Amino acid sequence: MKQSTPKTVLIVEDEQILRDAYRKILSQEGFRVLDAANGLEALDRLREASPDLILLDMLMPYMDGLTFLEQADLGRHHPHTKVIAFSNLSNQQGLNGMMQKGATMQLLKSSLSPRQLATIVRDMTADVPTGG
Amino acid sequence: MKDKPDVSRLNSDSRPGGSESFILQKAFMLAPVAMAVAAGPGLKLVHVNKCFMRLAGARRESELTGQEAGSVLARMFGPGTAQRLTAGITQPTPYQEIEVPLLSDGERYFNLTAQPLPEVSTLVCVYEITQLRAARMAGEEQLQRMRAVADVIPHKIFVASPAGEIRYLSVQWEEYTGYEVGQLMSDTEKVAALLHPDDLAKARRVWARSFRRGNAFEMDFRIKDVNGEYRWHMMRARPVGGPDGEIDMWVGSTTDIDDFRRAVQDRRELEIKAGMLMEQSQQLMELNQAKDEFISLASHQLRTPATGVKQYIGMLLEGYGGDVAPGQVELLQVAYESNERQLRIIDDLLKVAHVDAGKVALHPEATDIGALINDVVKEQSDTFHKRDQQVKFSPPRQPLVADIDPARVRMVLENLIDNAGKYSPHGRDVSVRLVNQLSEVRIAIVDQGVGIAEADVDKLFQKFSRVNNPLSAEVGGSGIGLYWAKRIIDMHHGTISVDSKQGEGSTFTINLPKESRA
Repeated sequence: MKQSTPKTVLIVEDEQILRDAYRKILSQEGFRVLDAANGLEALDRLREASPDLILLDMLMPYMDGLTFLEQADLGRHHPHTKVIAFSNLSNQQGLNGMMQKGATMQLLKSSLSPRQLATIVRDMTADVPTGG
Repeated sequence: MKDKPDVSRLNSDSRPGGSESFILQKAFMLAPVAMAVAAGPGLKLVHVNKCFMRLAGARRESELTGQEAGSVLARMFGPGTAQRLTAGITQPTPYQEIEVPLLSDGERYFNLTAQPLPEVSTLVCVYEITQLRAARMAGEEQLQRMRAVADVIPHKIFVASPAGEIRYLSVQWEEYTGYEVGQLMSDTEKVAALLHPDDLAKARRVWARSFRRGNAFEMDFRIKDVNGEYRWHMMRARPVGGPDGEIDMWVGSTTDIDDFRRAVQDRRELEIKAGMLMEQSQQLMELNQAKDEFISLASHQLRTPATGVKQYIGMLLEGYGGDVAPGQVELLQVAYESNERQLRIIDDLLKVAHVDAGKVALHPEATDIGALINDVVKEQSDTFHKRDQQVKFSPPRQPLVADIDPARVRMVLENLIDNAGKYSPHGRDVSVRLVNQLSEVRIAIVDQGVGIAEADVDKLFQKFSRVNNPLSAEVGGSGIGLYWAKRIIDMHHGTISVDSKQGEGSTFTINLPKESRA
C-alpha cells in the first residue's frame, strides 16, 4: 500500500499520548506526518507545509479546533486540504460548527481502531479523479 | 289653722299678721312638699298644707285635721306603709319610707319621712320622686342590658373603680376560672393567683401605673383556666370619665388569644422549617450540579487515557508493533474489548451528565426517518452478522420525514437496535418497523430475545437501573442508555415504551411528532 509520493497528514491533538499513537500508526502506513499540540501550533505548521489532510481535535488549550478553522481559512489558502474533525461525543454542537467551517468529515476519537483510522485517512487522501 | 293652739309651737310669735310667724305659716301652707303635723298620743293631724291636701284628695283642712295620721296615710299609701311610718314616728330619730306608690295614682312615687318635732308633735313630709325613680329605673335597665351584652360576648369584661377595685366581672370569668364572680370580686389575691407566676409582677406593675396615671393600657398574660391550664389572654382597659371630667370607672375586656398565639407560633415555626427546606433544596441542587460536573469532568479525564489504551492495544493487535504470538493476540483481544466497554460506559456517563445538566440542545431538521434507520442498520450489520443475526427493515417507498435532531435520534436508534441484538440469542433476527401515523412517526424495534420481567419494565428507563436476565452479565451495560434515550425522546415531545414477554422477546416503540415542538 506504500504510495509513490507520500501524502502529508497534520495531526492537531493536545494529548501527547494520542498524538504519538496517531503519528506511529500513520508513519507506518507511509504518510508524512506533522503534528501540533493546539490550533496556534497548527497555524505555524501551515506556514511551512500544505498537508493533504488535517486530523483536528476540537478541545485544545490556547486555540481550539473551531478557531483554528476560522483563522486558517483553508478554502482560500489550502484548497486541497481536507479536515477530519476528530473529537468526543460530548461536543456535538462544536462538531456541527466544524462541519460548517469546512471540516470534511467528523469522527469519534474513541470509536476507531488504528487500522480503521489508517483506512479512513488513506481513503480520504487517495488520488481520486476530479468529480469522483 | 288660725285658732289651733299647736301652731304656736312652730314659732314663739304666732299672731296673725305677725311678721315672722305669718311668713312661716304661709311658707308651710304653700311649700311644694306635702307636709302634715301630727300631735298627741293618737298622732292626730293638727296641720296639713295645701300640697298634702291635694295628695289626700281633701278640699279643706278640716277634712283632715283631727284624724289619725295613720289612717289618712293608709288611705293615701296603703296600710303597710302607714303602719311602718306611724311605728317609725314613735322613734326619736327620723324615719323614712322610700319609693312608695300613691294609691290613687299608681304611677306616682313618693318618699315619706317622719321627723320628730320638739315636745309632742311630728312633721310628716311627702316628697314626690316619680321622675327620679324613672331615671334610676332607666339607668338600671340600661345596666342590665349592658350586663346581658357583656355576658354574651366572647370576652371577659370587668369594671373597676377609679382606684382599681373590681366592681363588676362578667359571667365569662366564672365560666373560665370556675370561681364565682362574687368570690373573685371580694378577694383580689384570688384573682392574682390566677395569673401565671411569670406574668404576675409585670401585670401588677402595668395595672398600678395605669391606674395611677389614668392611662389606657393593653397587656398580655396567662390566666389559669378551670382545669388548671394557663392560656394567653390580652387585656385592654381604659378609663371612662364622668360628666365632671374625672375618671368615673375603668372598663376592660380580656380576650383569650391562646389559639391565635399558637397559630402565630406555628406559622413562625413553619416559616423557619420552609426556610430550612429551601436551603436544603438549594444545597441538594448545588450538590446535584456538583455531581453532574464531577461525572462530566471525571468521564472526560478518563476518556483520554482510555482512548490511548485502545490505540496502543489496537496497534499491537493490528501489527503496528511487529508480530505478536497467537496466544498473546488472544489476551490482547480481551484487553481491547474490555477497554471498548470502558469507553462505552464513559460515553454513556458523559451523555447522561450532559442531558441532566440541561446542556443538550436539540437541532431539529427535516429528516428522512427511513434513510436514518437504514444507515444505522447497515452500520450494525457486521456486528449482527457475527451473532448470526439479521436486522430486517424495509424503508417506505415514499420518504417519511420528521423534524428531529438526526444525530441524537440516530444514537437512540443505535442503542435500541444494538440492545435488541445483544439481548437476543444468536441466530434470532431483529426487525424494525416504521409506521406513518397522522401527526407522528412510529418506530418499533422488535426482537425475539430474553424479554423483560413485568416487575422490571417500570425501572427500565430509570437512571443506573440494571435488569437481570440471562444475557445481562454478558452484555454488561451501564444502565443509563435507555434513560438517556428516554430523555432525548422526551425532549422531542415523543414517547418511548416497551412491550415485553419474558422468554419471548421485547418490542420498543418510539413515537415522534412530525413537526418539531422542541
